Amino acid sequence: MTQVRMRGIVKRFGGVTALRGVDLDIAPGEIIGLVGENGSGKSTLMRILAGDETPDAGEVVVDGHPLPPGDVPARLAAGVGVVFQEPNLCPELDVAENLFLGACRTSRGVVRWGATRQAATDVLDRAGIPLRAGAKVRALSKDDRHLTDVAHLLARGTRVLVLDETTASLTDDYVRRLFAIVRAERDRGTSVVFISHRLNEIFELCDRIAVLRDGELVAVRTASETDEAQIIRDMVGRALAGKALRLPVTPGDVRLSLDGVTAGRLADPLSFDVHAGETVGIGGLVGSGRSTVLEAIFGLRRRTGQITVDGRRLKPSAPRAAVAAGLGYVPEDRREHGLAMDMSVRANATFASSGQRAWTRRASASRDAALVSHLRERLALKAPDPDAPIRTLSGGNQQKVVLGRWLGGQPRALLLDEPTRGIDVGAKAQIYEILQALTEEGTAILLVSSELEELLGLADRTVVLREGRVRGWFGRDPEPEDVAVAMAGSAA
Amino acid sequence: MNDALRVAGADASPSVSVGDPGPRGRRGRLATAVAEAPPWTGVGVVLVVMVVGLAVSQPLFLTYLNLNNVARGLAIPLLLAIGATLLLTTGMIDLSIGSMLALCTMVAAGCLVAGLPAWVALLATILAGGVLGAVNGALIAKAGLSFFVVTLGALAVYRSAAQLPTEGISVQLSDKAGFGLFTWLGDGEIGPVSVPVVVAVLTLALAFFVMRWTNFGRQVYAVGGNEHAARLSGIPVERVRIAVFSVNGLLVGLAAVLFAGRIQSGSPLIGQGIELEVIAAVLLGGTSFLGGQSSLVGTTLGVLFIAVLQNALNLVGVQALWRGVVTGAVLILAVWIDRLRRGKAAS
Repeated sequence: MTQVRMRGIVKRFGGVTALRGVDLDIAPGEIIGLVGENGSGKSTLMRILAGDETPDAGEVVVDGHPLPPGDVPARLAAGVGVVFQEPNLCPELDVAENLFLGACRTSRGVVRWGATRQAATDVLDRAGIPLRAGAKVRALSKDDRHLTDVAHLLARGTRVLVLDETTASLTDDYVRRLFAIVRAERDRGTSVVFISHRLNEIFELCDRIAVLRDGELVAVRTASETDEAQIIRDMVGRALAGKALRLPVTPGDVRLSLDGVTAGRLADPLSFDVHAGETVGIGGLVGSGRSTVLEAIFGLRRRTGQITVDGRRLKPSAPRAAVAAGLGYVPEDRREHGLAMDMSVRANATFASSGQRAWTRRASASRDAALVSHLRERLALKAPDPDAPIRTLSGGNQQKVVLGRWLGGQPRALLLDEPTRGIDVGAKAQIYEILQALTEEGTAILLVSSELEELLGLADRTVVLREGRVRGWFGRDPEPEDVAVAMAGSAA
Repeated sequence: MNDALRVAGADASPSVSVGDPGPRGRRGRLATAVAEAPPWTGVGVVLVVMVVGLAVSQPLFLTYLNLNNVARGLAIPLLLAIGATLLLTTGMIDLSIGSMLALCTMVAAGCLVAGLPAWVALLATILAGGVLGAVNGALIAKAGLSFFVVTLGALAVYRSAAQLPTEGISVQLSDKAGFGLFTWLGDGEIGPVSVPVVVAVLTLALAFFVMRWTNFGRQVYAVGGNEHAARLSGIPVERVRIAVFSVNGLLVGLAAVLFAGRIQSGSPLIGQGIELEVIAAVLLGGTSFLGGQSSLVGTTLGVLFIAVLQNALNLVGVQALWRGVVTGAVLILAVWIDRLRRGKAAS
């Protein structure tokens, strides 16, 4: 018997295929864990289940009824509900109203607030959530908002409950409460899909584990008959273990040095040096503080501690000073923070160099053109018309422009956050070649990547962060499983 | 989508805000009280202080004549402010209400000049407002255009349309058959209370009921509070948006009936810049610029505040030309205060 049946789900974003024909069945009263690296397609698959995204092919059947693609009301009627990573609530309304959003208890068209609060209290009591129905969501803690989001789905009679990395930002105590709620729902016959990067949670909660890799469902295993090492092998793919993507370079002088740096969720003071020609990797799950390190160095975040570039102290909270000192930064989200999508390739490529020039200096078309042709040559940038909007380029070529804007001069150190996210294999290889050339010329690189293969293949040393603390340093060619365990923080 | 204006503070820093849960339970008692008090507390306190000050210092202020004057002047801004409050709850503003007001009085004039019965003219005027509002709403919700662009364009279009039939000249209506109905609504009296005030207060009560005790009202809050959550909960977001713009238009139409009655004519020139005053009053009353939260009580206090402030300027003998300076400054101040308050509440 199956509650949910997904068949042949295909989804493409521009040139990138996110899902390549995924089949997944879920039985009533079953908790299935969905795991995979970032970008493997987990969230996309769940958004298609929820009707938030329309697939290019394939069908979703719930309770024997095929659901029209992208039809949210049909999902609601069929009892499909998703808890996303961030709670989806109206902060200015109270808990009770968020539970029955837009559908309060009424009689003859008039909202009965007493009955609505009572119904909300019943749902909260049933789930064992100690919240007042009349409390304003704005006044709740982040953890309590997550529980409210879950309760909102229970209030709607959800029979297929999806938790999409809900535990990523929950404290341990609340993870326990959430698990208790999920188990109680499972016992009432609800199908649950649980997505988490923490494998210990997956093994604790789930009956079966489905593994996605590059948009394909590569394995579905019974939890009691497998172990973490097997799942990690499924996730990262067998072939990769310890494959170098970059040849080591003899390190030179210290280029970038951190001394007792803390910022945001980065709790442990962080101290290390990156030498000329060296690549240091930062590993960790989403929310571990890995991006925080780069943002703090580049001056995008308040920090404590000392940072020096070539022995000179770097002014905190001043990206302009960081650029002047020879740092370059490639942000994680290139559409949001890296590029002006409607502006030309040329304009996007010259942001960094024009940012360092005085306001009264004349813009020079020939100098801009020289930079673009330099990038074409050096990065194999495929941009037939440098005046065309950059959104017309493929993801890989867009990413080359983000990286390339720092290559007008010779950067002293580059801070790369997910430099190959969402780009195809060919462009990936080209970016690895550029990084190889840059390190040979003496640039120091600090690299954040969710792809274990990329991280370990490129880095000379790797530091693993979890919940804002250092959980270990690894040299070249470590066992991928050891690093994954340090990242996920299982008992093993 | 169409949040050219709304984006200002709503979600400006998604990537940088992850790391700081903020020190909870460490803020002072006063700060907590400020954050927990209803958003219109500030304007309420200032209003009371102002009224007491005027009562003590200006002997003319507490006379029936003066207060009745203030009250009459209040009815039309209050009707418009009710509509603006509903719109702001969804995070939107209609900049075209002044032009719409003028165009609606011209519709009334057209009907009466054509010899239609007064009640037909009255309904036509109100419905015209509803249609004009619905057009704005449809362009925004269905075509996905920014509310700023659509209503700014409509401001110019509706104003021109009002001027076209008579080449910009007002139409005297006092001699038209049945205009007595308009005069009574816009300028009449029931005992000591003026009729437009009664109309505005009844409308306010109805709006309060709809927003508080119907699922339509609650859906308006949901759409403004979190559009995505509303959509995922099966709320017909587009329909709600169009409905709110239409209701706003109907209220402008009703205000136009009162206006025509008061000035005894249909005029293509009235209402210029009135949107500024109305929005200032609504924001002053603690309705947030970002949507999802609003207060009709606050709006009423805001309208009262601006009316009393202008009355005070009059009584003290400040030139009427200073009106814009005061209203504009109050508008900016109101938004600033809202920001500070939200900043406190957010942590």
